[in-house]
Amino acid sequence: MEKLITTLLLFLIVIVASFIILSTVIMTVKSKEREVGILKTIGAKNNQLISIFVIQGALISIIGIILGVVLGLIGTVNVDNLVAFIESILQRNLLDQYFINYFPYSIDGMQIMWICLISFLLSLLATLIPAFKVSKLDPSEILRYE
Amino acid sequence: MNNISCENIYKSFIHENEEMSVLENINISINKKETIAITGPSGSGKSTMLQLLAGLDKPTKGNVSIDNQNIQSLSELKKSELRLNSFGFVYQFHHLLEDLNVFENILIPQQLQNINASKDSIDKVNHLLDDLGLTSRATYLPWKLSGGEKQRVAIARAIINDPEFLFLDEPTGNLDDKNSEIVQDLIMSIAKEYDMTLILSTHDKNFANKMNTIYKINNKTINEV
Repeated sequence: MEKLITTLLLFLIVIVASFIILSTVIMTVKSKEREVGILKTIGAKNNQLISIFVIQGALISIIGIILGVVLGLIGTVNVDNLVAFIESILQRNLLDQYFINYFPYSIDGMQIMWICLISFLLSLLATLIPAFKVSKLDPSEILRYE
Repeated sequence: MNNISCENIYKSFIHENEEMSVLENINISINKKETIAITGPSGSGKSTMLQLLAGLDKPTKGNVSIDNQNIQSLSELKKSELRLNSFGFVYQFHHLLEDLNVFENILIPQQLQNINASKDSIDKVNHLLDDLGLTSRATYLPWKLSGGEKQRVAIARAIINDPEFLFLDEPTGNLDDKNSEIVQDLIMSIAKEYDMTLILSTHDKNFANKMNTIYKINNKTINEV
């Protein structure tokens, strides 16, 4: 039961992260409309323009995943020290109400790999939606109102 | 590419739910190596005319053809290739990419043709910088340049892929007399040197007089002057 809830929580975190990437790319596309119009006028193909935004989203996602895994592993390995540190700040024992007096953890390489892969694919999917909007932008309309 | 022609072109825009007609029954034909000017008062539809000729905008009615092929029947990919390889554009407001320096701005069309800019591309940019007197400005960002210099960079970017047709939308409209004269001379010498077709929209009579043919847009129609 605990494992199912943890998985669900993890999945929700990944979904929220994907939405953050989605909104970042939407904002970038919106703020770069002028540049997209100029590049289209020069002769940039839609796939070239889409790839700019997909690469941006993919880079954000890769950096986020690497940072997340590294910080997550450091946090997990040092969970006892972390709990002790929080307890010293709060001046109370966090694990008092439970049957255990330590925070159990296990590092499963395969699980980490799956989470990274799913996170990457979801965030890549999130970049595709705004990136494809680029192909619909009309350069004459954008530059007319410059 | 030898010819661009318009047949019975009508163009209107929807403004506040009302249809506003800008161009009506436009028929012109532009052959390779011709230099033409489209004149008319502000808001008469000169820029719209240029956008239609270059396939950047769609006519409400009628056809724009390139070598007898309707430009609207071309796929988006073909239209992009046409703009990349055969057309060059210079606007009144230079439209340079502000995050890139002068060298990088001029290099863009070459990179769009081939993402790995070859030594030839780099040599070509350096040659153009030299020709246009911009070598000392190569590493400058656009905001550091004067209006005339920005427009020269825009011209260099427009011609780096050796286009057959160069579209100029009021290229001197934002410049003082001295810079306007420099840019005009530059455009005329480029057209001669590279055998380019010039399609210019302007309300500068002196500049228009340097072209072989002058058209005037008046009351939504176009006539040769």
